[in-house]
Amino acid sequence: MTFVTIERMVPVEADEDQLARFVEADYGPLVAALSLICGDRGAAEDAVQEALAKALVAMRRGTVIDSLPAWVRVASLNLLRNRWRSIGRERRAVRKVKEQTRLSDGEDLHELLDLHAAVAGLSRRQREAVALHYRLGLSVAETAQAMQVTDGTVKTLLSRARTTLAQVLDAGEDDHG
Amino acid sequence: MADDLLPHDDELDARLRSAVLAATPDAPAVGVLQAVEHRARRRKRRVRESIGAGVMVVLGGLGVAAYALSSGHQMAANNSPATTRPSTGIASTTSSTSAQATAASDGLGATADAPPPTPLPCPAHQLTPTTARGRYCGPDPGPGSGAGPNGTCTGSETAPPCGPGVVPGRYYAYTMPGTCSGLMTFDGQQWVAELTPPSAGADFYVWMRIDPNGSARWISTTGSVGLRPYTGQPLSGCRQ
Repeated sequence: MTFVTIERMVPVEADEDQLARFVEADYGPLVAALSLICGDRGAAEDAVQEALAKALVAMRRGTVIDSLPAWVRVASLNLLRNRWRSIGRERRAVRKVKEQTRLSDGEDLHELLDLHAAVAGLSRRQREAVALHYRLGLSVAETAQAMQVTDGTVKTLLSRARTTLAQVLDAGEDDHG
Repeated sequence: MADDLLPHDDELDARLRSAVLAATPDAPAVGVLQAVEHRARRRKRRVRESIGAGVMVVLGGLGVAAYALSSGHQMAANNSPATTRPSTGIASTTSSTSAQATAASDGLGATADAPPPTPLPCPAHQLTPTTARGRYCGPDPGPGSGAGPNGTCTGSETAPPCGPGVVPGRYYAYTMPGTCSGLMTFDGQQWVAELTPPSAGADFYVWMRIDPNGSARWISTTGSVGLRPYTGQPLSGCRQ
């Protein structure tokens, strides 16, 4: 597994006010996207806040950060990967989502839970691509930058994820009419 | 390109986007700025502690070198081991055994020209181990829970701290093998100490932890040493 050091992303213009603006506009969606990846809202919040703290310390030391959202995306993704490196923990969280779905079998399956379960069934990189592209609305190029992979890789990941998720959406539509 | 794996479907994209949005509402941002500020202050404190520990590493290294030189000279001159006096605080930061490290710390006090830095007293209830005050403060580490002798990790364990699942920031009791390689199993992977022991010795007990940034270190009454993931690089072995 490759982890990109955050320092490599250190760019060129800094403003501590960026932090407040980021929290106001980008914090909520980024936490939501990361929780879609890891299945744990608390871990997602922790990763984003830790990345922000890291950015704040760096900015106060004079490091200039060109795009705080891009910086924090990469940093929090890396933190999340580090934190969830223990596959067991991640599997437990993902399994929990799947079990919640199974418990609901036979009842009126909640479409959102279906989607969570379907996303949980994707590979980690597919989940990252889906969360960044569909939840945060990043372009393929921006998604590739955040994931530190090529555009082609993102397209492949998204294509495969779409195939899986389309089945869930189609099934949901069949159920509801 | 790879997009051709599936015919692009704008309608499907739009449905997916709205479904994902509906399934994962934005997290509230209330109190986040304060939380981040608090974390930033904590980070700075950790950096200061690391610098303090780094200084101790340097001092400890000097102490070990001074002790080695001193005992070498004394043994040559007197044909007898160097005398020691009771230790007053932490000094060694090597991966040596407790006994060796204590001897090294004594050597620092006995041989350095300048008086050793006076360690600050430990706080009354120091629950987490630290060397930031110039001495080890915190609970004494006990044996690890590995399947090997003395609780050493064998690599076959499935539970932390030997096996995967170590929680970053948490301290784990660990039995450090007194081997020369500096190689150890922790969190399901192999690590190598940044400072190898002077010579092979008995196993000893330490606290192990992984920092939130992914780096790892051990800390014990004898000092603190950083670890790095073992990636097959040649091992340096004992220094003597």
